[in-house]
Amino acid sequence: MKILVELSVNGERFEIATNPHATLLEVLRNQLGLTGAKEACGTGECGSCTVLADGRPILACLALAADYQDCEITTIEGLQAGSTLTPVQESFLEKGAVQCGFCTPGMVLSATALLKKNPAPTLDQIRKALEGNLCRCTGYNKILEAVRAAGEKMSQEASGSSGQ
Amino acid sequence: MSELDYVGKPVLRKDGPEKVTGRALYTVDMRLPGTLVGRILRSPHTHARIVNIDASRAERAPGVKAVVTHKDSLGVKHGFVETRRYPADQNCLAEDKVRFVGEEIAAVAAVDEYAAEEALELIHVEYEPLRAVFDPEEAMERDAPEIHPSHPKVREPFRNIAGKTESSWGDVEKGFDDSYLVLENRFDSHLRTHGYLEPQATLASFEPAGKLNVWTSSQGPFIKRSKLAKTLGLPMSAVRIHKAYVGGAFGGKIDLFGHEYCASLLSMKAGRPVKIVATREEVFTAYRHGQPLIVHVKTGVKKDGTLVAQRFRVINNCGAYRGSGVVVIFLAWGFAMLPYRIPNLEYEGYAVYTNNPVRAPQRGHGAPQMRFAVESQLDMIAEQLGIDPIEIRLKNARQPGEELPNGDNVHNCGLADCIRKAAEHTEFKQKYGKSRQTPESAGRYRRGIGIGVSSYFGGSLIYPNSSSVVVKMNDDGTAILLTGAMDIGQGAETILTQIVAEEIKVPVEEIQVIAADTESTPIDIGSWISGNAYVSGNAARVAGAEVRAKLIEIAADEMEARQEDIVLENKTAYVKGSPDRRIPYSELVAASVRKRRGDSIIGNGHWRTMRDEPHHPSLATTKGRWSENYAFDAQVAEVEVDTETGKARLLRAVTAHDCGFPINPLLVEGQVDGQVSMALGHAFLEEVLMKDGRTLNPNWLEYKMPSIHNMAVSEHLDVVTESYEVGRPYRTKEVGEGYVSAILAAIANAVYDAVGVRLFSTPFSPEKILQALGKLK
Amino acid sequence: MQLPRFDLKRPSSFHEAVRLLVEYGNAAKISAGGTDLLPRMKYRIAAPATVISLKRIPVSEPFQDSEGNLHVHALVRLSDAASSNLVRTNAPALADAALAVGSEQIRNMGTLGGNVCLEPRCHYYNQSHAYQFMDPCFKRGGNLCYLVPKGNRCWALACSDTVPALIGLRAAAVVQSGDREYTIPVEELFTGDPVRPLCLGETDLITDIVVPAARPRTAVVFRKLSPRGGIDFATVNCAVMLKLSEDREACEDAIIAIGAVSGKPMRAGQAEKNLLGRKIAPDVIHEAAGRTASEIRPSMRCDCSISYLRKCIESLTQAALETAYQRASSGDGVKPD
Ligand SMILES: Cc1cc2nc3c(=O)[nH]c(=O)nc-3n(C[C@H](O)[C@H](O)[C@H](O)COP(=O)(O)OP(=O)(O)OC[C@H]3O[C@@H](n4cnc5c(N)ncnc54)[C@H](O)[C@@H]3O)c2cc1C
Ligand code: SF4
Ligand code: FES
Ligand code: FES
Repeated sequence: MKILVELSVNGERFEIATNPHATLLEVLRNQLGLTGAKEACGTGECGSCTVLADGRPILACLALAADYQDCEITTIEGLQAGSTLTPVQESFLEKGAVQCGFCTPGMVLSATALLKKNPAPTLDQIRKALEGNLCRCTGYNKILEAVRAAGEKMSQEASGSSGQ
Repeated sequence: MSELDYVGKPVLRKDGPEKVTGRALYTVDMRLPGTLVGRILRSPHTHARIVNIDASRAERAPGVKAVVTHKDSLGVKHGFVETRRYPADQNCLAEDKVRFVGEEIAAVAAVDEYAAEEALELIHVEYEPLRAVFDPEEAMERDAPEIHPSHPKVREPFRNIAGKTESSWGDVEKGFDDSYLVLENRFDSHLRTHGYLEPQATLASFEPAGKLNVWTSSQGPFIKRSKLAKTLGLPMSAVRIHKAYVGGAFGGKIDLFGHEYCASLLSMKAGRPVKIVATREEVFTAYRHGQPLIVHVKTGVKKDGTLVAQRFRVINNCGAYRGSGVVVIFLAWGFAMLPYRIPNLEYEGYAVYTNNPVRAPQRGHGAPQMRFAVESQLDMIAEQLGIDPIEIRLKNARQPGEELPNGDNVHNCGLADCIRKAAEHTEFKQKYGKSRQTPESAGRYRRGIGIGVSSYFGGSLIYPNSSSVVVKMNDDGTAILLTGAMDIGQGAETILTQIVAEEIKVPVEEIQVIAADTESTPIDIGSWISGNAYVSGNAARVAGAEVRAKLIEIAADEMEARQEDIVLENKTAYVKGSPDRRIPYSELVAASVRKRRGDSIIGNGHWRTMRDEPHHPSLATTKGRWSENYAFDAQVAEVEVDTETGKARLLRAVTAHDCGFPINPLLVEGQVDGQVSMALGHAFLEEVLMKDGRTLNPNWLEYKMPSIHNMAVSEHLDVVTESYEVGRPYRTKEVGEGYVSAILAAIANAVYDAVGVRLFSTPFSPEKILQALGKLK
Repeated sequence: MQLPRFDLKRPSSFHEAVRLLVEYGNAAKISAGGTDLLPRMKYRIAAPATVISLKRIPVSEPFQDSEGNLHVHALVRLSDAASSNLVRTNAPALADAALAVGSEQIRNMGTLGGNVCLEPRCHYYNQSHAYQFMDPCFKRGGNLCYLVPKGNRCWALACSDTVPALIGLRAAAVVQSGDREYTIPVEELFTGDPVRPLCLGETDLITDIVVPAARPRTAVVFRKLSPRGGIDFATVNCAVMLKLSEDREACEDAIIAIGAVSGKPMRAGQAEKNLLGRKIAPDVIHEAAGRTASEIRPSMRCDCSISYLRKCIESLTQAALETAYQRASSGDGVKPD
């Protein structure tokens, strides 16, 4: 028997008839067509399915869709306003933190959540925040650089705009 | 030499924006209307006769649209290698026997996962279990169960030999007699897996008109097309492999896989698209891993450390089918003989069938295992002779222009420079041996430094043997690049674009890439013999050069100047000396169409390595040319060992490498870092734990792929030995898999340097280190 | 990977949840954060017909009662437990343990109650059994053990990170049982049998964890050893409590709790007793660590040997005792790092 689930994703409300046993990842990917969140393991170990729930990174593969009705879900598709890249996305590109790209949406979201909380994290704080996101391609160093650079960029932008 | 605008620059990846915004579509993201879910029934037995398969109940189950078993197949076998000596040995769906847990037996296509999963349970298979064997040395014994008959050409009375490689030169026995010191050791390596993030996945859609459309996570579409066509009995032209982004591969997505075949066959039977995505557990239990090698090496040296003779005996636990098992015993020979001059050598390598999952190439394909053995032993020799590890390597390192015993040439080999640079940069000589000189009480944490060297080939002759590239000009002066190359994350599309950009002087952002589609793009060797930068790159260069020539011709006409005086720059042409008067490319294209019978300017390029060689060297005898392009590197590792817990970690990795010249330094750094990370996983963390052919840790919780906590500082030093000039062939070298090997050896040597005990097998787990330190009761 | 089919109930209070448990019996399973239950369901080692998700139950912030006892709601997410100022100041070991679990995402989903009730783990058990290890072992209701084929019991490991810390803190669980509520020391929650690891009744739920008020000259320290330092379950984890005498020299009270090496967290009773009244010094700590390592009996496992685990226990206990002594002897002993 299907149930009706109301989700708020990237600022839009959706009413979706789905299975009680549907994960948030299944609903996002298969029903809403938001395939940016990936399933590399399905059991919580890799972080490639990371989305933000009220700004906090969670694993969509281990979340029941019905359980996430009262919060605001942000997926990689909802990060940008318009077509300009966010500072995190930009830094990932510029620092070479992307190779095959399969881990990238999760990485970018985890990093975004971290920087929102803490715009000038230490390397250890970045590591702690990204410990649940596996990447097989990059060896992580460029990801660390990218997160640091994005933090700096964001602080500059923030101080720039407050100075105006 | 002309100034370079695009090659040699840290150009940002072409596919970056798609990837950071989550818009890049991978095979797992692909869907067509009416797509069915496919699932595979796998063998629960390590070795068993199949008495009967009854799928009739599954066929009748609700929601099931097609079921396939061996009976539905043509019975055409496949193999990573398919030669006269080594014919294909694996059925696409098991026929009368299963030989490993996870072997494909049947597949179903149903309306959803649940229907598919339930249908699998309804397929009744009757087995008669057979005795199984998992250890290669046991499998060679006379009374071992026979998995396949031993290869008929192998003379020794061993069982289960999938293949053998033999090679020799000089007189090894005499060499040992003449040696001042002879050491003989055995080094063991363990089972690891690729760990690509995107699971194996295929979407297949068979059209009524007879065309099979396939999206599959792979390392090259052309090899897949050829194998699918052959096993399905379709003309090659009836199979189209489409492009999808690929979420990592590392060697593990080259061969034909059960899910690719089954999705296709199911689609042909059901008349609807079928998608199969392997679960991560399936990837771990039933797909291919790398190759654990047993390496015996006996080495004789002069008093001054000069290598005199070396004898190798390598045994590869190659799993239930040949896979790439007979390739790795060939390559192991190559990786043993490449970096150093060895006047007398004898090599024999056996690939041995066991009831384990089949093996695939894994980044480095035998090199890490071989370099670990050779470089560890070389340090042992150096210590006994009282020679420094740097000096003994410099003494034996190949020099530019040296010819290898098989007729290949190392050309501008920069190995000695790599060794020197790595040593200087890390102050190797000042640090080496320090830790071992301090007394036990010096503390719990011990540091050590070690070095290793390696060499890797860039491109060889394997189907389809060459790469072609087409470059088309657009009306507006931008261009389109068509290539069959598959970007698996390494940046193939980006570097090919840079090369074309350099030749035709159109900015990288303004060249659109159409790639990896067997119908709309020309053939390509694929991203799996490290020939992308060299072979596909030169094809791109030639195609660009043709466009360039046409642009210059027309520009000369239009500006009434000599062709030699035309300068191309940023989508415009001008006459040398008067850069103020420029014709944009858009006008040149228009002029060409107007005045040259409609020539809209298209360039064509193709490249083949070793153009005069008929084919790949013999896997069995190593005779014949292997490559014309060898990269070299020396890597230094600095480690820290906690002598209380046995935990060791890599602190710093320095890679000094002769990669010819870096086409894109940013991408090269990415390759270096990625390989360092993989190597430290190899050294300290990762192991596929197997018990009697079954996988104990089929997930990333228990298979310890490095996390962000484990990465070391990674630095790299370029030793540039080649150059790029517009209009000239080049010989840049590979950077994609050569750097997982020397660093492993360097880590092994650094652990020794730290704590003074030598480990003869990987991984260097805390337990093994404590054991070696005598700290375990 | 799909979850098996089930019916979902979403009660809005513990009372309602318990009522549903009574109604559905053992065909129902509780999901708090779901990070332990859902992977098991994906592997089909748990396949409840009904899942009772506690996600809608309001979670109260940690608070301190008039006696200084710290009350932490069972459904508090581990990341919130770790970052709560009250927890950090009154029970730093709990905050550290919560922060040592899994990853940022896991901590944002997983709850304290779920972590306490974490199902014991084993390589053979925590995977699906479609074509590997198909015959059910003891833990799956069968009659064999893959790990110790000759044995007649299960050796799965209780790996929770917070439990040893809670034992070190002498914390108790508040349990809702039907209409009744009772309190039980966390340490007594565990049977030691990995097949039925908890002493809780089938329809009991943990609603709160209560950590007694911090005592003077006392420190509780948590330490974890794992291969990667992130994502991983502990190879060994350990919590020690050390209370010093007035002169801050001798040991007045001690707890040494070792987790992840057996079917329930273990206490090193002999080592603890041996510490009582002794003047703390490096050799005493060393001796206590050594005693701990020889008295704890780690279970067999398939990725390392028992002697290696002993060595880990020793070095981890030593490190924890050293830190605890440092903290207890300076300041009030309960401030976080
Ligand atoms: C990749 C990964 C890594 C992990 N690493 C760690 C780690 O390092 N350390 C660690 O300790 N854990 C780890 N875990 C396990 C798990 O995520 C945590 O233990 C988490 O705290 C469990 O909480 P939960 O709320 O998600 O549990 P759930 O899955 O919701 O529940 C777990 C069990 O407890 C029962 N339960 C839940 N709440 C209650 C309650 N209030 N009363 C009674 N019973 C209840 C459930 O029925 C279930 O059986 C990891 C998990 C994954 C997937
Ligand atoms: S220890 Fe034995 S019985 Fe327990 S879960 Fe593992 S295999 Fe099963
Ligand atoms: S897919 Fe969710 S954590 Fe791997
Ligand atoms: S870029 Fe490939 S896994 Fe991270």
